[in-house]
Amino acid sequence: MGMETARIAERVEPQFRWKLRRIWKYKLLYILLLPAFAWVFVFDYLPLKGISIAFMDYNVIQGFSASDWVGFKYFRMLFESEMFRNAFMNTLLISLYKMLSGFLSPIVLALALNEIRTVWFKKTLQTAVYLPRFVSWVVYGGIISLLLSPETGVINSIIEFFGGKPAYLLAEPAYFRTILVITDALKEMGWAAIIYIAAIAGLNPEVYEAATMDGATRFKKMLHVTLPGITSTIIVIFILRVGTVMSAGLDQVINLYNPMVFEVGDILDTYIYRIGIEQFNLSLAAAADVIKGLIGFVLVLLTNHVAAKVNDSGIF
Amino acid sequence: MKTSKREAGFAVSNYIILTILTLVIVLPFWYVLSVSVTPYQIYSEKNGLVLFPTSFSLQYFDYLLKEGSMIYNAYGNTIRNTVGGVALALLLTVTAAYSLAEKKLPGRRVIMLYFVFTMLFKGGMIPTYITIKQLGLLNTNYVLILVMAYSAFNMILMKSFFEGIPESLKESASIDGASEFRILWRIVLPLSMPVIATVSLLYLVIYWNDFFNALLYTSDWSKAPVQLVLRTIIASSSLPPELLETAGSAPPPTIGIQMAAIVIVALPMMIIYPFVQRFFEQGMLIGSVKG
Repeated sequence: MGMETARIAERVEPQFRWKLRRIWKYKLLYILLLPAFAWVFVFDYLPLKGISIAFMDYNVIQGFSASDWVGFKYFRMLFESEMFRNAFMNTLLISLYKMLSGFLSPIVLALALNEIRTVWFKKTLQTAVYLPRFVSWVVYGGIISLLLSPETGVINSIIEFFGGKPAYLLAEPAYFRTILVITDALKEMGWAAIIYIAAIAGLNPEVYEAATMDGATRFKKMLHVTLPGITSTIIVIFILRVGTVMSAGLDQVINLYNPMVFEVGDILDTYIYRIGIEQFNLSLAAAADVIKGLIGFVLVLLTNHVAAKVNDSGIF
Repeated sequence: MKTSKREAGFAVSNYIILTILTLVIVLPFWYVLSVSVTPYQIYSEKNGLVLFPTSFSLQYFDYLLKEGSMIYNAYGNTIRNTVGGVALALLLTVTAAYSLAEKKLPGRRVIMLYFVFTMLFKGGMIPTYITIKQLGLLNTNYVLILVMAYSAFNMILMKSFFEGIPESLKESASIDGASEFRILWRIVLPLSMPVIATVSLLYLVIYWNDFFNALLYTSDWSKAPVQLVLRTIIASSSLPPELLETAGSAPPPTIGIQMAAIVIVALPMMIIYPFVQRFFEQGMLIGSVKG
């Protein structure tokens, strides 16, 4: 037995030692990896353990060990809850609307900016449209609610000036989602356009010259040269967006919504925050987290699968 | 002739539409700035329509920034979190990206899986909150620095850039006997300025603009960053006494205070980003090509 092991070890050892030596050669790189490795462990992997509270009557004071397992009790409660179903549907709807506006607007913006030939003007426009990306939703939401406010809002002054009736627009369920979608597009479209602007800059100028020789107008070139040229970028961005459908914009909604518009504006993230942190029903909120996370996970895997297909088989 | 006319029409309408769009995006910011320095009397005479400050007053800023104001402490918290946070985040991101960019690193695939898995599936708000609580980090001075210190997206962006640096440069340095640290410091980093500037700016914006993590993880005003204070100033039509010592003179009208507070909070990022702009166009390009 002992001799057998020794003989195997003799044969394996050179390979093993060679491996060790290879690892030793890269020891500094492993050391460099440690800080991020530790961060990911503490702030991404440890919370996975916390998921278990969705299946417990979580005892806030005494922690995990003093909490009883209750199976799917909180999941059943969620599915019976009108408020949860509402938040779930709103999340999907708002994401879908934002997909249309927030996804298309940067493409159109990049195409339009590309047609501006005056360099300083183009640079000025670019700098200006990036601006909102650099302020928080507290700031942007604050500006929006001050502008739309019924008493002091300048938008209402303008509406009144044209003979309209002033309204508290942010408290109107009929307008709330529209406001979310428009303000999201205004805030993010400039920054989101950068990737397309970069992709357009990488297109082959000879194709444009050939198109010009064939008598194509600038509009035609935009449609038939530029747009097809950035199609692969568009597809990748679209696929990435589909993976984030379950997050409909926590920072935005929490800074703009109010009880008057919960019915149309409450999303999963704001629901989880209210139930879990404000009302301290941690188990119920964690169950909602699990549902959100699982659906998001499936969506990301699905879209990654599609992305790989698109890249390999080259649909375009 | 007809074509060139249509060409001109296209160009002109394009200029006009883009200009209008840009104004829609920028004017609200300009308006806030304008109201914040306009005396209230003129503001109300004009029914709020003050696109240009015809006369100038700093009364709101004086009020917000007077001695003992809560703003100072909150601003200090934000600056501390941002400086400490960006430094820590850069350290974590650069080191991880540099190691993972080495294609011959033994076990690279498994390590990558470890790093990428959490992009796909996260514990979520409540499990993360409980973890932070159990670690004893709730309501500490460094919790906000820690929780935002790493972004997988930024790491991958930087890794893609590092992978694009010619192998031959690093090899010739290692033949000359330079250590990995030296290669990173002397060769890779100087070549990577666009992506480092981009990623620094992205982290800077995350830290400066964060309010939700602060809302979750801090509970008393002495720890609150300035975004959280602004949120309270905007949400309350009457100003909360714990935010500003209102003793002495009566406070100026709320609308002006709110606008001035927005300016105080947003101005630093609005001033910084145009200077970094030329880098992030380059930096994002690499990210998009590698996708």
